[in-house]
Amino acid sequence: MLKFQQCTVLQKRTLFSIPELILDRGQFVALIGANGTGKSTFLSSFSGGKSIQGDLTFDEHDWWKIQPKERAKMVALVDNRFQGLEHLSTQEYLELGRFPYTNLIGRLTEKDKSLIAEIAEEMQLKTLLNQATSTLSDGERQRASIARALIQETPIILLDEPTSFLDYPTKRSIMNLVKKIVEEHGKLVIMATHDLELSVQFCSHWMVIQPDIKQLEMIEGNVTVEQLILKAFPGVS
Amino acid sequence: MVKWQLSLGILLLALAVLAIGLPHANGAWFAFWNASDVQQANEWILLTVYRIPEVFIAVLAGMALAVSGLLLQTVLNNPLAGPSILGLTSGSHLFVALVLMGGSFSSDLFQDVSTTFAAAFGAFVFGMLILLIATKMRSAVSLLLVGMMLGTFVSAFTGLLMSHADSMSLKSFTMWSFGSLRQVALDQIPLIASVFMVVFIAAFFLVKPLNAMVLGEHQAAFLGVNIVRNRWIVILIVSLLTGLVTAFCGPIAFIGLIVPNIVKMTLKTANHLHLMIASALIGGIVLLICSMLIRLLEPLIVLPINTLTSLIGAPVVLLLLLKKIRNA
Repeated sequence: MLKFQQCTVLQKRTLFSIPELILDRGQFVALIGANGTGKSTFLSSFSGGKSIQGDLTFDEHDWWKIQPKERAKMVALVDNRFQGLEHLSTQEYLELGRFPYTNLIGRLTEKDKSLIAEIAEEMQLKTLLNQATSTLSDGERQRASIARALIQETPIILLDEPTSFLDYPTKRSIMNLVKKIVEEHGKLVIMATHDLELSVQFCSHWMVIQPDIKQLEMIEGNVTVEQLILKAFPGVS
Repeated sequence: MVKWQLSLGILLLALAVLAIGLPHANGAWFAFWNASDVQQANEWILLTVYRIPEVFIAVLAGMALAVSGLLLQTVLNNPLAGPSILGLTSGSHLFVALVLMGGSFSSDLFQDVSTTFAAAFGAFVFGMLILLIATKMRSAVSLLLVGMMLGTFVSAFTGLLMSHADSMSLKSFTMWSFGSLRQVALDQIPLIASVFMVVFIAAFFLVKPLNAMVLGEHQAAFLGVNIVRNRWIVILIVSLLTGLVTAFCGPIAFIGLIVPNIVKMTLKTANHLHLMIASALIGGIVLLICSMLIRLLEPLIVLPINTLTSLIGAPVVLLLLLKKIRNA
């Protein structure tokens, strides 16, 4: 579905290269690399910008020729930067997931509303809908954020360190949730993470940014934490 | 929500009628209505020359400043943003000073257009400057310091201009900078109203992108919003609204900062259709009440509008800041 050929990720300087890479629906991919190697740059470049150069196609379409509005129907982002707002309810937050589909004034159709209700039910957010997003716990906000991405109905979901502010049980429940989404909704999920142990348990693929040769390597099947450390952080013993 | 806005609208209308009928000194309410013929002629002049333009510009300025504040707060992701505190008004100040004290204009109409243009242009230039700085700044409070610095620079620079200006232009600039709701004449109303209408309608086309921008520009971009384009449109709209108000009424502080915050706290929604309508209505109401207060206090003390809004506004902003610091 998503195909990289001779790509370079750069921001002022070259961060890393992707010689060849094919990603598909139903894959749960961990993106692993040290701080500053370009994980966030890689994820944000999907919304436009010019930080990936080279051949990137989505189902044979040139990714960069897709209009921003259409792109928003293909890729959604779950970021951990949003801290919530006192005047934004969880319901309104979820409704923003329909943004790429609504008309000029953002009117929701009956179909939109029932989809939002359905996903809120599935993600166990029903009781939180009228609550302000600023009063949600970190785990709840992360769940709402994932729900919003599901409501956006995109084949690709990007997660930027979704577990970084969470306690251990909440981390595990979020990872279980994402895994279930990958399997049941058939999404391609790319998750930047520093939680190597969790990624080994839950992910199906690992993309490792190797700092010594500045190249992205794809690993599938089975992997151990030690192998990931060796590739991503070669200086660590 | 609609009921709420409807009652605000009715309140605004009622206040406007009340403000028009406010008695002069010891006169009666709605004196122009039932007075003897000779008196009526005088009352009629008072009504058309002073009252109607004043009420009109108070409502319009309040609306424009409140909507400007709301737009800035969302686009900069900063609840403490507002046209005066960020220094957009300082931009108008600077350019109006340059026009009034830097050159000479013979025709009255030309002066109208050129002060308005200078004020809008100044707000636009400083708006761009702030936007550029804001993209490099993460903290909500440091952006306010930037606004303060711009203000300080401008007042120093206008001081320099004033020391070299002739007495006539010095006077007209000083009058302008006090801020007043009584500098508008009846025949200017159509021009002001039409410019304002166009800009206000344009602002309503921003409702959808603004709704997404509350999530931050990063997330908004993933929802398909063209961030750069929308920021430019907002700066253009805000500088036109602020410039228009500043040109005709002089600088008016705090309305743009406070009103949208009150609206967000009460309505508890991030839907900008509701936020914008309610901000406009409450902005109009607040400035109308201010203008009535000024008129009622007139026998005791002469209050320029900017002084009054600052007297009320500064403590309110302090409260908002304290609340924000506690939450952070």
